[in-house]
Amino acid sequence: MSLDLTHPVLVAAGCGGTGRELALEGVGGLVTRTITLTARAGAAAPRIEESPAGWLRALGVPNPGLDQFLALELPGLVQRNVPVIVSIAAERPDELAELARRIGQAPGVRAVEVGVGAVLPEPTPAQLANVVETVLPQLPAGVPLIAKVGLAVPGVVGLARAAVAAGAGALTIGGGLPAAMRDGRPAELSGPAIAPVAMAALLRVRQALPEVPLLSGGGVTTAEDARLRLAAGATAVQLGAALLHDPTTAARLAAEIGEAR
Amino acid sequence: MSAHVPIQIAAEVVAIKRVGALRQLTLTAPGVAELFRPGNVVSLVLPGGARLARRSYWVHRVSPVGPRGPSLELIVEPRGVAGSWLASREPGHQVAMIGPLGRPFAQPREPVTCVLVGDGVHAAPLVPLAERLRERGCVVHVLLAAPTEAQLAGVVDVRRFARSVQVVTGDGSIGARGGIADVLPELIARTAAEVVYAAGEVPAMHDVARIAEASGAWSQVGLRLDQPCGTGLCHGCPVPVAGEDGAPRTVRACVEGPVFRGDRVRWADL
Repeated sequence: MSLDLTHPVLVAAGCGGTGRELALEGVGGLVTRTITLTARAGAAAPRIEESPAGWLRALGVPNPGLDQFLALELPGLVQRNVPVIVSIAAERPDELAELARRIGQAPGVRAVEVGVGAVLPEPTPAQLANVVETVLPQLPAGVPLIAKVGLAVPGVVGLARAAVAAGAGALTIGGGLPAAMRDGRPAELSGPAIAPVAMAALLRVRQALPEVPLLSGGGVTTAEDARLRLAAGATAVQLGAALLHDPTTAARLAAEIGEAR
Repeated sequence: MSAHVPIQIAAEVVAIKRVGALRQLTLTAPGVAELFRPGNVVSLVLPGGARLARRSYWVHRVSPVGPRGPSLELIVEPRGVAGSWLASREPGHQVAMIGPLGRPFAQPREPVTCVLVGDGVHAAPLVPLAERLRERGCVVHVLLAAPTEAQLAGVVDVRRFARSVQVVTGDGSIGARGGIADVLPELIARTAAEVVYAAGEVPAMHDVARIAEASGAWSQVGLRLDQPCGTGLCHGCPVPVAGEDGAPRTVRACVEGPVFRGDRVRWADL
């Protein structure tokens, strides 16, 4: 099932608030913050620290849970006329399957993204394949599955191959790098500081899997960054931390990058 | 559901002046100043590209019309990376700004007696609030606290709108020596205030909420918390609250706050 994006600039999971807070004119899609079956308050403060040209984040998946998301957030997002890709996560396979089934049936959902994130920070290829195999049978034919494989080099190619072999229709090569807050809590590093790492991960996966649609995130901040990723074989880019510094980046890059490839 | 997208501008510094140890900046703010309500903040960007988190500041006073167009004032303590940088701005410099942001102070429908409590530099939003309350026929009493006289904000300006102004400082350099908790119970009792408005750091706001509740007054507290993106995207300014249904929730200070009902904040978890 192809992703069929209208524009190659997307908003990455976890960096668009509820979607209401962001100008999305021209943007090719919004990946929601990660939704879990039941509501989660998220981590204690401080959740965010500065690192040179980067963001350290230990958020803990704050989200309203599936019921509230479907009732109160998704309908408003769908009305914005921006393709909605819902990011989901669960520790347990039965929860993941229920999430996938109910999200997949919800009106207006363009695709589902699942994989590397706060719930599954550093999976093995087998674990990621299990996640894909759990979600895939629950999704209707018209809702493709995007596996988020992170961007940790080395290892990203093995994860990418496993996810595709398990049936993922597209891959997100993006997210934060494993890091630590000043007090030692596990965190993710994102922002321009990690852009060269994300570029390396993209190039390796593109070389290993020439045909698979790849969404490239990690440090994309300027139109130049986006063009480099597209030239390196990305189908689209995911804008994340750049929005926290300048929320107009999404609509601005969408205008600067132009039509879908 | 319509999107709430605040205005992003390049604000130009019109003036900067010393107020004790603090600095008062006047910036052009077309589109922002007109929409301002007391308790709103603006979110600023530091230059250079190394420090990416935005910084939120209370809007002090606004001037919707003026020789340079709409403008607003911020009060800044020249400490830390952001405060030092802002304090070194000169007229003509530009500052990237988004605003107005956040839920403002809710104002009473009926004229009531109010106590306004300012915690140091965070008294900034109380001056325009006092003005609005006075326009609504409220009686306004003000308590301003700071470590020293030099760190007091708003003392001169707020007198125009206040029935009384009381000052306490940690070192006794002006007013009584002490803190908010030392004098607020007596002030609420003496004025029979029904509503307490306050802005400041979490410990002081917890004191205000606790004392107001014990005195049978409503409180609205503006919390000074880091707001890394300022616009609700990053989920980096969590505030634990009890919802209207009593259920515990964690909300964002930048979007659902920074002003909260004092009895709704779960202080022990903050």
